[in-house]
Amino acid sequence: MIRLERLSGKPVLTPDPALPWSRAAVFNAAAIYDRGLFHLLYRATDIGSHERYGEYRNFIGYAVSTDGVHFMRLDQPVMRPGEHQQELRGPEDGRLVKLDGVYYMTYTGFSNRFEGDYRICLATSHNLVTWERHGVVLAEPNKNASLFPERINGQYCMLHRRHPDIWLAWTKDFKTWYGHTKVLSPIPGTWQDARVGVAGPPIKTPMGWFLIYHGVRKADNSYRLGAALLDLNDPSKVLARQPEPILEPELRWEKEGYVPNVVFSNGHGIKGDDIYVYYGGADTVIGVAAMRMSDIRF
Amino acid sequence: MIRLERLSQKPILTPIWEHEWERAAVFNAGAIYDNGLVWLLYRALDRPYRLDTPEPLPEEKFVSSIGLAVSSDGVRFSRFDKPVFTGEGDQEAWGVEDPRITKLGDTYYMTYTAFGGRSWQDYRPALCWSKNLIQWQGRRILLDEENKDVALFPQQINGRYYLLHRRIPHIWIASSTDLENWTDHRILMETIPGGWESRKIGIAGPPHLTEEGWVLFYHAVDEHKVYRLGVALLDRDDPTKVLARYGHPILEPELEWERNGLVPNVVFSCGSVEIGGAFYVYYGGADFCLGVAAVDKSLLLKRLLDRIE
Repeated sequence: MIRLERLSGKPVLTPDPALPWSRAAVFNAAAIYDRGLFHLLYRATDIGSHERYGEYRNFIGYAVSTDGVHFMRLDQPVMRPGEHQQELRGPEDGRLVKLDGVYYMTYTGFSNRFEGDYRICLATSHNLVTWERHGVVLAEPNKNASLFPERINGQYCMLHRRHPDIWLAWTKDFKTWYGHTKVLSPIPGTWQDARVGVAGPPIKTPMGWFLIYHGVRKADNSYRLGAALLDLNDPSKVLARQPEPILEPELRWEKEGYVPNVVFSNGHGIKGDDIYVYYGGADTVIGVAAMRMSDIRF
Repeated sequence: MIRLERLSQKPILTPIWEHEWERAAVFNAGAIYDNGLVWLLYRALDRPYRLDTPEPLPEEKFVSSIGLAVSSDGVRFSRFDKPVFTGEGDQEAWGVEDPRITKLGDTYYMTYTAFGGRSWQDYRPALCWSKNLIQWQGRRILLDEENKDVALFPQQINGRYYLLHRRIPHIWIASSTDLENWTDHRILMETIPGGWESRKIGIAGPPHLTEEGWVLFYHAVDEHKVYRLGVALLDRDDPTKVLARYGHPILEPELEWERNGLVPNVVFSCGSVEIGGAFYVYYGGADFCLGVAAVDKSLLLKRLLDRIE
């Protein structure tokens, strides 16, 4: 059975009371291991990250680490709210891939001008610090989108979420999407009976695309992480899916926070055989748990 | 007369009390412009220092670390909350000071002053390298002598690496085939009695290659210990030859934070970058905070070339 093992009993990143833009919560981090470093592009909020606390604003911060556990961070956000009409309340939940030397981050543009005012947006960067926005890539209420880390049969492929399922679509230009296909659905009566969505980008293995995703339980709205395997050439085909979660809220900071009982991942860093999975704990802090590539067995 | 123009009347980086390692001062920054970003590796101080005691006092020990800041416009910086480089071993017991950054191929080299604190003369020029500006490796003493204000040229010239350094009170130059054995040490520029560069001189950051030669910013100290910045032009193919020395300071302490700090009346640079036809020179103000001033490249070259005739 695949399980993630926590690398620290403590969060690797917590809110910084001295920084107004990230004084309340830091969570849901896009991640990549690149040039010998673990990079995080994490979501931060100024007040509690739930409507019950008020109109919180989202920022994207940048943190970096040499060992994957001890991070240092920039004191200014790299993306702010209000810079695009789809992001009046700011960018949320980035997911990061590197394609042909360029970093691509899909994220949720949140404006809340009306019900369902969230869209999948795209930004690119050459240095992870300055980001060029490309606006909405999919004109429908949608979130939890991740590109694959390479082209498949010459085309870009993106996983996304049409409630309550994980979907997939193809594009050549990040504007026109085709071949929308349902990939993974909730399973009634289990820890993932309400909805599912991708974690970070799929990980290529000889057996198929290893996919970490989140599943939500209806009974208490708790979030866990699960694992599946998708076909290398046709990733809409699910080759395997582990019934048990690979990580669930257990520690205090995973169970208590602005949104209780949540482990939610947006990315990982792969260093050699090790996969470092970063996850938000209770929508308040960031933790890390790891597994080995060689332990991927279904 | 050509001068550096301040791009900000206020410091661009000041100490952060909540960060113990950079609580007292942030100054003297190596700089590099790479991939659309200006990176500063700056010296940070954990407590204010006194330099007027006969020997360093253990009870007043101050430690320097190196922090990292980044900017897309060269003026507004974000910075990391932890240092990227700190002292190790006896020779760096009081920390690492005054970094200068040079990119050779795809590797960043940082020359810095390793300060042991066993006496005021207990400093050595040291070198380390990195592929990402964050993880620094291979630290070693570069020249085993009392020396500082050291920087590498950003490329080899006729198959040799060149190094600028300072044997009090002059600027020296040496060369090497392997970055380890430095030979052909000779004086590059001397102090000039009776004026603003009479007491000692030392380089700012690594020189910039232009069509006309290497542009070298440097600092000069006068008899009243006022630190100013000057500029010179070195021969493209033989950087041991000084083609022109501008003769007037291009920046001097004028603003309050350049005149008053841990050491009064100091503008001191460890690095500059070329952006869009201008040189942005980063400098420490009064050993306390950081500022930036700029000059148009073609205008500066013109003025330097005027000095040759």
